[in-house]
Amino acid sequence: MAARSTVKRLAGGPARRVRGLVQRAFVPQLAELMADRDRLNRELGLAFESVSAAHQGIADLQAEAKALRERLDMTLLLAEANQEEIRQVKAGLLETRRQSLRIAELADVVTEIVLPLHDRDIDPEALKRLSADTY
Amino acid sequence: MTFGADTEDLLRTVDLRLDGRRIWSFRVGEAVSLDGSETGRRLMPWPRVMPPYLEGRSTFSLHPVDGEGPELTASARFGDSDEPVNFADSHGLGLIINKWGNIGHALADYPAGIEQRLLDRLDLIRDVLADKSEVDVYVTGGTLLGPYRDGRVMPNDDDADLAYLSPHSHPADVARECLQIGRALVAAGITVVRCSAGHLQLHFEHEGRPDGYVDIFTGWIDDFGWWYQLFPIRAQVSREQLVPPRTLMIEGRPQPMCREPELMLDAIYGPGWATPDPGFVFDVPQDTQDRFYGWMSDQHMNRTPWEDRYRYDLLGNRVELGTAPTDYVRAVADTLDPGSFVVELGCGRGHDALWLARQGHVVEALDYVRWPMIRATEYAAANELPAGFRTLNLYDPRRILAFGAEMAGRGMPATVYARDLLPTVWDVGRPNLWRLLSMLLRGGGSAHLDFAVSHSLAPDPRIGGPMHRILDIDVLTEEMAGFGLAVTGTSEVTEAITWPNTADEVDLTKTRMVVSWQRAAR
Repeated sequence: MAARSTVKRLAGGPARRVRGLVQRAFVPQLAELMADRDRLNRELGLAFESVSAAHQGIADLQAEAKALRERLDMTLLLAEANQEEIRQVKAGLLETRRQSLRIAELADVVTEIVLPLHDRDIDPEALKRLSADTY
Repeated sequence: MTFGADTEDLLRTVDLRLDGRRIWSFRVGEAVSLDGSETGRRLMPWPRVMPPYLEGRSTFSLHPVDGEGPELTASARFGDSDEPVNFADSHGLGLIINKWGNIGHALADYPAGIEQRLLDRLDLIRDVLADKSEVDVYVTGGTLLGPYRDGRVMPNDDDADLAYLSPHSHPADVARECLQIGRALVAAGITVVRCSAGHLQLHFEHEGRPDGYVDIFTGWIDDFGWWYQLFPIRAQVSREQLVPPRTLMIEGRPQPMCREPELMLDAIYGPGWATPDPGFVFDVPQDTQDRFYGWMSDQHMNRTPWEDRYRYDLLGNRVELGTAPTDYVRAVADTLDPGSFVVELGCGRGHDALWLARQGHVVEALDYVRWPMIRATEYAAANELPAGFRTLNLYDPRRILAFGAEMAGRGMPATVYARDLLPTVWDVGRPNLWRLLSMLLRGGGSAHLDFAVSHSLAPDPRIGGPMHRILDIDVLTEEMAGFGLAVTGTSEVTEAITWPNTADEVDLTKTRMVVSWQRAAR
């Protein structure tokens, strides 16, 4: 025990001097490193929060994608189920458009062919009987 | 033809030149790679309409339109002749393959002065429209693109294009206006071919030869601000963006163009309109096509391949008219009294009609292609045959009613003869045919029509050439019943026939039917 105290006493002086030197040399860097550590810890915390948020976002997106997929599937099912209806609507649309042309053609035929063919047979008395039905 | 090309050439457009004259343009990428790779030799089939002309020895070259890259040149000999390959019409005018894949003419191949003559015609047409209508006229299509972008008429074009903006907003009014415009142009002495209720094609001659044509396209703005112009345009545009027209100088002469020409060019050719592309093909959205087809119909239906057939079929045109009657017309003639009145529908060159006239029958023959009608009329007059030829379009119900009334007014029974007509008429035209038959046959007589039952030769003409498809007699019978017509007899025959774009003569099983008028239509 006495020997250990002697060694401690003999070595204590230089060790303190060395520690003092090391502290003088490295304390600023140490403080810097510790500040970096603290900052990194904070950033790590934030990163974990971001990752958590990202996970949540991904989960939300997956839920949204699932909902969209379901809507798409439903739309496709509806479209497939209504193919015949769509075909009928398209045919009806074509027919409606064709009626425009038919009206034009018939008006043309009446004014250019029928009326000129019959104008010599027009009975003025018959025309007089064609009274207006509205006023 | 085969040629070598690199990857960077695939998007390039090349002109095919025959002895130095441009006859066709295509994109290199359309040619099929012989080994499946992007580089190396590629195969480009000749256009389907060209092989009959490939006879002789000539130099062919592929010339990049953009001037980049080498010109490829090769000599080729087709058949035994050492004469140059003659890709020209019967008047000696050089032919080309146009953007539709059909035979046509390029302005550059017409006699000198074609541009000025076309501009004279544009002036004439505009004068007629100004006098007889309320529409605003301006140049469109290639006639706008070439002068506006390049400062000159496009040499590869084969026509001039006019469009007008109607004051009307409803398609029925617009169609009726176009019918009136057609009549006004005819009254002015112009040869007018109606392609639809909104598209006219005006043909001209110079020194006895066809000399180009002018297309007139209808346009209007509906109540919802949609601008329509046949056949590619559907866009949200205000009237103020189109009219009053501005002036565009073409070959030193003022012509009208719409107020915002780039808007029109973009609507027709897409955003790439400013870059020359001789291989351009239209890509009109289906819903736009559907609208125009519904509102304006299509009275050209397959007429172009028939026109090509009668204008450019070298071998067929060498057969003297009236000397090649078919077995069918001989069989029909056996049933006729002397001096019968015969109406032939879809008479083509008129061989059967002229042969019937030679047998002493009075013939009225019709087709919707005008070239053979002109030729057959001249032949009948020169040979003093009792045969009249004129055009009649089964897709135009107005002309059907007018012709039916005229024939009914003759007060004599008619025998109607129509060989190979039914297989070539689209469904939309058949009601007009039945209506015409019901008008022609009310005074007595019968109609003789045939159709294939074994197989179709060309079920869909959109792949090239005129349609020829099988039909079901039950369907036809049901349709005809609604017009007071009934089938009173049938027979089955096998005929060997040739058809445009079929390589060889083929045997077809056909049904020949006799149709009569039975009762008043409901």
